[in-house]
Amino acid sequence: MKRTFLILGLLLGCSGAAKGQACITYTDNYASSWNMAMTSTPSGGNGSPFSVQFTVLVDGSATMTVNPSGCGLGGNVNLSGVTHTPQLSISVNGSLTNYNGPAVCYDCYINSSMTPTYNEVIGTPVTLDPGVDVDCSMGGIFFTWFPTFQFEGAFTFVKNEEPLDPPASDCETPNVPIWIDGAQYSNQQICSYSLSNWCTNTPDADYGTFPFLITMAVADVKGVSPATGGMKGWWLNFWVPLYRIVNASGQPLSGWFNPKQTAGGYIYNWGWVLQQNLPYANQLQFTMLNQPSVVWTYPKGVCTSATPSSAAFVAEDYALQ
Amino acid sequence: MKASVLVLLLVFTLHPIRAQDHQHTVSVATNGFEHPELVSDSDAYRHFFILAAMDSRQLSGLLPADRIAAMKILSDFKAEWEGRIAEYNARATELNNKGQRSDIKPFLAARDTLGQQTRGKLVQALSENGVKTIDASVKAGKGRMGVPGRPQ
Repeated sequence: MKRTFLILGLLLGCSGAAKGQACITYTDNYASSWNMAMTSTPSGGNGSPFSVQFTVLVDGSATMTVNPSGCGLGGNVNLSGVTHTPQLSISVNGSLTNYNGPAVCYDCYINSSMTPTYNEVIGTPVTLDPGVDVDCSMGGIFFTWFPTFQFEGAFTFVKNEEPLDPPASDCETPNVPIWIDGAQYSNQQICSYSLSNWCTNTPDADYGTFPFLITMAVADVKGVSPATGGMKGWWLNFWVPLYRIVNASGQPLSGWFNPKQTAGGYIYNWGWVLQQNLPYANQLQFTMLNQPSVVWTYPKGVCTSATPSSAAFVAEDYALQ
Repeated sequence: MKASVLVLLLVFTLHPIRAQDHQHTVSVATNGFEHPELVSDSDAYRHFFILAAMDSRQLSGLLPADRIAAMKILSDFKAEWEGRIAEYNARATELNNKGQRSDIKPFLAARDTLGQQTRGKLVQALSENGVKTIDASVKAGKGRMGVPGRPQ
């Protein structure tokens, strides 16, 4: 029993010493971020697998101040060997990856990142929890960042009026109506088609960037769907998508439209469609209502078949929500 | 039994000893998607530069000529930036080992200058649309950042 009191007394004594002033204070100046990029191209629509590489990054510094009077133990604080260690993590639908960066001196600058790759499927929402801690070997974790995001691998419908015939194996018939030239087709075949096959020059299609920052080598965009699983996550929670048409030089030919509020825009449970006819050389830009300074442009590509045909089809491309 | 109680007491109180002995509060970063105004352009551009230098797919919104030019500039940025960190940290470690402190302010000022210089190089080398595309990517990236500071 005496030992119990002895330990309790020691604990209370330490606590009391720390009450007036903290032993260590940190003024941190860390910036954390995450990003993602597709590392494989999906081969089909909903359910088709793709891999995505995430990056979690932290850099910055902290000023660690020792207040001897708050530390008890006679105010003697030995900082020798004290280090700061960045601890990075990411949880993707509950699957966790951790990484501890190198421990550096307490006045050092931290710059650490990790790039794990996960396998996901198109059309399935994914909950993403990147995380950053900085741990002091003396004071414990003093900086933390744990946001939550959602994303979904999605495909984007692109209509090109060039007469091409993709093989039947690359086609499917979604259970939603498709709009072409102002007419609705209930059983329209949707064909997955490599953009590079459209063009004789080097295609400018790329599947790698988030969010919605792909460059497509298409001449005539007719419809775009940001997400196969419906408009949610980023799109619903934070941003309202808007679009406008610009010419090849980027000059706006129209104001911004909300596809929900225009005759040419239709909302389906898998996303939304525009049915404006775009002249061959024009581009379609997207922005978000709450982010007017952010603009994603679908530029005119490098396809050499400059003459659109009336034999329309709908091709499929992929973007991340 | 007494020994067990003592051990349990010790186990349950060990953490509070450490936490209170080195009392401090944990700083929680502010989410950029909630408060993008708190994310400085300096931090946002630097992180974009680092990420794009690590993975050129971050530049896929650029036309090929702009992309190649940007990759070269950001590759140079990465080498310079990592070299400066290594140099500063070596110096800081040496000072800390002697029980002395290292003033990080000049390093942070030089960091921000390097970021500005890199932005300037991109403006010089890329098309106007390419610069706008990068600006848009950087601004969008603020939504995926966590930064110090609290909203007013």
